[in-house]
Amino acid sequence: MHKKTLKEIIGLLEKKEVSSEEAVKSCLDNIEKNKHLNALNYVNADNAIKQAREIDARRARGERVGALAGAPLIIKDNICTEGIPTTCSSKMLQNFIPVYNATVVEKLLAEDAIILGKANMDEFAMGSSNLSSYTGPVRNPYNNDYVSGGSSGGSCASVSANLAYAALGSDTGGSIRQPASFCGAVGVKPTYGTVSRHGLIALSSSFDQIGPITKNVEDAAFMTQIISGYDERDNISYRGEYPSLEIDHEFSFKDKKIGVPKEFLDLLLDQDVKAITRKQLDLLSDEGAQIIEMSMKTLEYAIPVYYVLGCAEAASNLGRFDGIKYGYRSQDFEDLIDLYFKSRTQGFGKDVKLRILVGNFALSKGNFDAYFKKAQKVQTLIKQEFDQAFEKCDLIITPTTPTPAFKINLDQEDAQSRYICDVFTAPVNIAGNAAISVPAGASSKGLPIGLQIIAPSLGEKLMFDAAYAFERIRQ
Amino acid sequence: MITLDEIKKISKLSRIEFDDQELKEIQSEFRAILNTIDRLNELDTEGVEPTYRPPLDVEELREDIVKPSLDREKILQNAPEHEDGAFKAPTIVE
Repeated sequence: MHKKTLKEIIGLLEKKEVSSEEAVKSCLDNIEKNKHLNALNYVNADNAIKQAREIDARRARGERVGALAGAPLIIKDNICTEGIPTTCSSKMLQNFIPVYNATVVEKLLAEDAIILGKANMDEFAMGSSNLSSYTGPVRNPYNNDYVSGGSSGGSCASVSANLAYAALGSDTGGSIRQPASFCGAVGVKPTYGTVSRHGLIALSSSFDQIGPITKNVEDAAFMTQIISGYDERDNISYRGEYPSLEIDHEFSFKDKKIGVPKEFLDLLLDQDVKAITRKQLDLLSDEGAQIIEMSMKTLEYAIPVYYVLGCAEAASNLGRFDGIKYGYRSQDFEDLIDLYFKSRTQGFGKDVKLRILVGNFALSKGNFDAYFKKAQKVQTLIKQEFDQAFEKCDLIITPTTPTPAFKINLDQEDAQSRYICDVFTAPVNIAGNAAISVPAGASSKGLPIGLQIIAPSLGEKLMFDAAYAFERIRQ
Repeated sequence: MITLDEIKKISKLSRIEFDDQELKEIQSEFRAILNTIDRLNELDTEGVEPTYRPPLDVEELREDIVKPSLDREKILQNAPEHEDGAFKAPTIVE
């Protein structure tokens, strides 16, 4: 039963062929069997069963229930859940229990979803491997010697291994799409501003976006619709219209213009990724799509822009962790300043410290114009490049990642993969538009490979229709 | 090239301490990142406006209306130490 998609389980729940309690227990059994994946930081077992029984009772009485009624979901551990620990996989927040729900969690609960657990992640969402987690790496469900990707590694492994019917993650430079690609799941980065980040523990506020991870495209559109919407508690929240994301099952690629950044194809080192991307583009071409290879020269600068602005904002956002108001406090200090030093030194992991340093370097006097302002200018160029590209095409397609998942114990070859894995995903965060990663095939070692479909800002409807059509053509 | 002294200075400003071994590792990773970042200089940005605003139209300021805040007692439960409804910090002035 845990292998059903979200829409399938909701259908069975509605028809009362399955109870929510059964659905929850089926997932809990599967969580127990998959403990070795280390996908979850916290399992909300007792509360989930209690909540499932309440929803079953309401349904039995014929009361109105929400669109997700009784479906167990997993939430990334940087999204605040009232009364449930939210640790960011950091020693700094091991004992942190939020006193409020993030807006996205409120929205899921308003539809009667069940929060089954909190997903492991790279510490403070910094990383693409889930190797920086304080609670240890997440293992790839397809091959346990390989990484899940990150930073939403636990969320993606959970969906891929059927620990829940869907999950939420966050994506700042590719942190939903990259692990979704590594784990063979569907992952969405919605348009910046369309999903509230209130209650998301901030990494880099100019790029952070919450999105769903699901087993198929239809579920992804359904979840995106539920979590989207204006929220006055997120000051970059979009106030305009939010179109219906109901999938058009008749969508055809005929005469659709698909842009392919040719610099990206040149960058591809991995033969499997190259072959599968080519094959899928040919498939779309057979369906009538017009494939347009275009030069997008500034996209390769997304990673340096991301390092400067992302680290600078992370350094500022993580300044709040001082051992006073909440989070870890060192027990051994001489005075107030020493308490700050010791708490931060002992509470943060190595990757987090490095990014704070890089960020404060870019923000410091003498470097601000050369690094921070320069990066903001290049951000403008990247956005302009996307705007110009979307005048010539409807959607842009790239591989999601340049390689499939790499080994947890990095060898020489894999060490390089670790640093380039956001190269195709980060440009979308810099420009602020929407993208989805859809499973597109497997490598010679049997590891999943994903295809990224990039849409203009607010182009989610077209993106989901195309992704759904692609998913169906592949089957 | 970033020197150990520069890294020590930034880490002090960041309120983070490193031992000598860690500093060397940090320096080598820092250098690798700076090499990546320095590639930005390959692009001519003369006359380009920096991006300051989010891409979509958003209202920057909301009405200043007082609303209920979170419960003080609940918030303090997450504090490492608290007393009389306040966060407790080490003594600063005797």
